[in-house]
Amino acid sequence: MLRHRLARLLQALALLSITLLTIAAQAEVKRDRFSVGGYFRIMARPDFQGGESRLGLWNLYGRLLNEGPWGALQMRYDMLQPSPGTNDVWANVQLRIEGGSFANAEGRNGNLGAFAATQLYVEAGNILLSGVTWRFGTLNYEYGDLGLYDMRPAQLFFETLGVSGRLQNDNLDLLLGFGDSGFFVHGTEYSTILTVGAALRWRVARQFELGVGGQLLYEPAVRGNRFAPHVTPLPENATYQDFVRGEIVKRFLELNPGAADQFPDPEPVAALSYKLVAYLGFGNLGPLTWNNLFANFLRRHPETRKTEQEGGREYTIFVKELTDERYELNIGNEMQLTLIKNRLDLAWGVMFGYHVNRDNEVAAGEDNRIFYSTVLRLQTYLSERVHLLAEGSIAQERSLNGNLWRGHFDSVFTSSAGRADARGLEFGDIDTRNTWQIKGGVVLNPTGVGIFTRPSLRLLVGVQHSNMHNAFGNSFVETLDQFDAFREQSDRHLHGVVAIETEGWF
Amino acid sequence: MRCRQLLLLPTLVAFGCIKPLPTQRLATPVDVATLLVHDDIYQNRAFTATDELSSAISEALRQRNLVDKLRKLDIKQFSRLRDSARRLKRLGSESNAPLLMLVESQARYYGEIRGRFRWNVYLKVTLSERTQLDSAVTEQFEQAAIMPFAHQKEADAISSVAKVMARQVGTMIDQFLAGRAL
Repeated sequence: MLRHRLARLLQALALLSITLLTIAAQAEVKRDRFSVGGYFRIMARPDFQGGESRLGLWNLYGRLLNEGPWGALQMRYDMLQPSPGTNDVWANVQLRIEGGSFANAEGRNGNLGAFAATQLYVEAGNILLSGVTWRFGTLNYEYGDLGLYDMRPAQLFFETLGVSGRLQNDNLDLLLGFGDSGFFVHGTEYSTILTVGAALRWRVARQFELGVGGQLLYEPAVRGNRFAPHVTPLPENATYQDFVRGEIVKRFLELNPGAADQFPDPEPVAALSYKLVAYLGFGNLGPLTWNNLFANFLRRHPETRKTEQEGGREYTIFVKELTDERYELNIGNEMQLTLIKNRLDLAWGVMFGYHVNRDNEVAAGEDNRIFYSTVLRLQTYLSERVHLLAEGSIAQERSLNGNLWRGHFDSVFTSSAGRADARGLEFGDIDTRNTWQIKGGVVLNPTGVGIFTRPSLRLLVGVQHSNMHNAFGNSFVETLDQFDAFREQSDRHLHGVVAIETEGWF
Repeated sequence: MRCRQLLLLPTLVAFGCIKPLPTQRLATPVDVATLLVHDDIYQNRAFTATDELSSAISEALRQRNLVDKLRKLDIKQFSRLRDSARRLKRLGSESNAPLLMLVESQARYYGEIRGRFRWNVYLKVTLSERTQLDSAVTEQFEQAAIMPFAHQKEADAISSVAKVMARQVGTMIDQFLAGRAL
């Protein structure tokens, strides 16, 4: 009797499973398990002034004509596809490979060594908590992008591998993450950097949303690990100037003649850094499509060590205390406006940065600077697929510790008051770099109108003026004998390029 | 003369030299009952399609002299009814139009790529003569929607590729109608 009932139960279960399979087979849209997306930009930019095919030095003047080629391929494979109406576990794995070299586009001519697998992670849902997406692997999280600059000030966990949980609904997006950033920060000289952080985005209304987030990086002291953070006790007569010039050991030996074997051993110490981000977005208001305001405040992670040569010996100085007060404040805003629907769009960006190194009050460098920039782009549509683009930018960068750039072709020999600083605390003869750029041309957009609609095929001309001499990537002169042979005889403050380029996401 | 040539050049560039071929139109208007359903990918929920997709597909029909008889059905019933064949049958039972068209959409977030937010948009289109549901023709399309802002979700993603996908649907309609006596 029992055997008979068991047989009937099994029969019913089999029938039920067949029925379920049939329903699944008849379900609505079928999605492939494997899909691929990505990004590319490639360009030919003849430069008749001998530059390296970029209009300016970096994308503070707008990314257009200032960036080189780039490609990214992101692959996703659904290990378990989501089943609507169930709380079955779903999971997928994603891999991104990206890099900056393509045949005939730059010096490495498409060498695959220029590419890296920058992201690998598994995302899964319906495990332990309903509505939470878990991620295991690289954790990169972005609030958004300043498209004109190709900058993402509100970005977290870029350097972290670990686990995160993300709760999302129509109005709220909360992410908590935990992991290790040691390999990104230190590379082959790995030392664990525990990283913890959170990101919150709240959509208050259709026209308004805001977000805050932060991450903390903690590198513990580990006695015996030469890659862990340490502090080398500095001799009393050593200053930051000696650190910059690589003369700390020299100062020690001045105080302790003949004591080369007694250079102090380093003491292990923990290191800490952090990043706070904020985001404010509003839009869908008349001609304003959307406005993104991003900000970050961060303390850069301390460096571990540097080496000095003295008396034919190599000494290692552990520099945590000399590099742990480097702070940055970066604020960027970008708005997109539809001035005349399907005829004229505008994008306007503003960028501000204040970087300060409180350890360093003597040497000019990018760790002590202020910069401001604004970029304005207009795109008008002659037809759905043929557009005209015009962009202008103005930027100022100011060094807080003296001269940092060369204003003239012969200023390699000068710094303050026309005298050379051969021992290297300043560089050149100007402490403020003023730059403007104007770019324009024809854009062909196969997929229609839109200032950021892609793919785009662009024929552009760009002109830059800077008070810095040769303010663009070049390799005119690298050694003194080259200087003798290829001596420049006048300043070059204007620079122009023409460009044939294409860019797109897919 | 040279000046005129210079003026002519941007005009040719702007409007292109390729004249688009006219869409093949039916000789007489034919009614088609259409139903557009958007399915949630994670939950058993269905929604009405976005206005942009509806109007793009309506335009594709209009160009072919098909009269769009958009069905205003209770969308909730389609949350439970998820397989295409039964949806098509239901549509056929509520319309006298000789042609039926079921458009089912889904959108799924893919990931952030270089500052953009990528979505996959799927359309499954089923076309049938009302009297011959067994010989319905089904085709599926997939399109990447690249959104500039993180707050843009499924509806924005579908709207952004509505025109491109409606063009694919139009081609499918042409193939379906070819050789049929309507």
